[in-house]
Amino acid sequence: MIAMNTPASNTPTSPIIDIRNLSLEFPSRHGAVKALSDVSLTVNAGEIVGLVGESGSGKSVIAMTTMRLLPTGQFSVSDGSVSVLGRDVLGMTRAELEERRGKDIAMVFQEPMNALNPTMRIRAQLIDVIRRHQPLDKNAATARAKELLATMQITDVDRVMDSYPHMLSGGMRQRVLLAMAFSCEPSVLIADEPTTALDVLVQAEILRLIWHKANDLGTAVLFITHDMATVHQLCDRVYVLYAGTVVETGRTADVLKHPAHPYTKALLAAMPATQAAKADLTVIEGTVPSLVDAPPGCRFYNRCSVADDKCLTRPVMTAVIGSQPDHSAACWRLTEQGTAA
Amino acid sequence: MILPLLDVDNLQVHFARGGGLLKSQTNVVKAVDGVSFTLSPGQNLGLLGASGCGKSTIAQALVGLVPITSGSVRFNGQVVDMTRDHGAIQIVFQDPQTSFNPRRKVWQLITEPLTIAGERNRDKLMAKAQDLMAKVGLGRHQLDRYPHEFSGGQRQRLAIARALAIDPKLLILDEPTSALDISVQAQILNLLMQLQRDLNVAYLFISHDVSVVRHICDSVAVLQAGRIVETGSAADILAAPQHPYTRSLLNAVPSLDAPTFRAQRTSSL
Repeated sequence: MIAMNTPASNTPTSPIIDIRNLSLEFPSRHGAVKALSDVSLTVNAGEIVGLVGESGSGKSVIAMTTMRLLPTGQFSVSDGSVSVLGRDVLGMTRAELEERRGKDIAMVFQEPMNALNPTMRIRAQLIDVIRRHQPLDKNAATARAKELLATMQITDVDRVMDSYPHMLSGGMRQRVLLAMAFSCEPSVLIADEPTTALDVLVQAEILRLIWHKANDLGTAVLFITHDMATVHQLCDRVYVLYAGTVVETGRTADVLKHPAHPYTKALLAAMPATQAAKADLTVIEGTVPSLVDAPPGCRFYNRCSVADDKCLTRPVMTAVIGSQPDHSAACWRLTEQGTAA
Repeated sequence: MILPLLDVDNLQVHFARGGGLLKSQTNVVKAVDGVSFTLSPGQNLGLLGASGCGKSTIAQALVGLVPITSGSVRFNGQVVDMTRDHGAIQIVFQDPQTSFNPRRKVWQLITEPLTIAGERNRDKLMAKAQDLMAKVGLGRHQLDRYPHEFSGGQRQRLAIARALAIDPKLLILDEPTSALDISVQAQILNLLMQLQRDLNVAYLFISHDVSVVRHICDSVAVLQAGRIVETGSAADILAAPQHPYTRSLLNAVPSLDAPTFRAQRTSSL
């Protein structure tokens, strides 16, 4: 119970979340769906890391795997490892998972209503979470719950405490869930599109709240989104996902200002904000390949404007030449062979 | 001066909300509270605002889906009469999944406006369906399929095809790309711009997305609590907003040009 804050986990060189070469499949009647292929990802202490990609790219699968929330027997890990604070998540027993979830690692979801019990008041739900991991009596836990809600910029704390979830707005529910998520001051928070279902003005408040709270507590955040502009404002580093593979990663400013992978480039050019008014937007032709019989090489091969036969062998993550440290992309054209051609 | 295609004057849409056990008190929610604007043929007006500002209620009032409390809506200079004008104003919703009958085939769905107008000749309907599919970039081989066999972006193309079936002069687009991925949104926006060049149809574009409105609209009206707080050319207003609400809306939206949160924190210290 005390052993989790091992010295190794607190040094900046040891990532809080460390996913290595993870390949994961879902069985289906059409064959195994290769949802993730050779995904490597780290989140270091105090860092806010963006995970950006379109529908079906595997963003949520990474989050659910890291939390071990995928139903047992419904998936198989064919390769790789997932560790949180240096401990293997895939091999944890149920008891270990229950101990660690909420305490080391917490998660908030897109739809807060689904994460709250509709038949219990917020008061009871918050106290329940707090007392699960902290040795507090009911009064102390109540005080702690109120304090947490206040730090989420909720002004009428007592009303919220006495409310059932349906009595609260979407933004207020997300604040309650963030209060729960931060209640045990976890080392890392996974936020899966937490503002997508919210109104634009509320969305902005919640984003700022997450950033400031994480920054104040030193909590690392893995922030899942489909919005590049959110990544730009919130995240220190970013991973760009396409069809279950990481196609590019690096510091946010480097990736957004100097995208290297053809997919990242196309995605940015498809954003209206990057183009002149009424100009045609860049369209990525074709569709995402089937993950049942995924192509052997680059997953973006069939839609890439610069692809050729060399792309039919699997690309490896390559440092982007002449750029900042940590910036790399999975495209052979960025290798010496590619730049010479 | 060109006669405006759409002239909305002091539009009010109120909803009664029964209060109290015996309905003794009645609150009136003024969802749209005195909105006026005009839209010229072939032009685009963006209605921009946060949730609950009344933008979708305006759309629904214009096509007769909610009753108008007071004010006037003129189309081509005449007061709108839905029995006569229902074809001339068409609407496309955010979620195409919920706007199609799942048990109808695509050709039946996209020609539904013609069927309602009295067309029963199957050959004519089929020919029109093929023409519509080509217009929105879908294939004629897909006409016998059901809506669930299409992706979100394709379904939005189908919704646009149906809206175009009786050559409307005005298309109301209520958050047409909000549920779509960025690359699919780009395809739909390109399609809308292409159709406008070909058909000279006007768009009333309802959105909370500043970058989309800036990209596609000639003019914009910013709504707050059922009222227009600022209106004018999209380029001017979105570059130099005058009203505080517009400014707060523009500041709130994540943007590639805005400073990062870390930079904001550092500079405020």
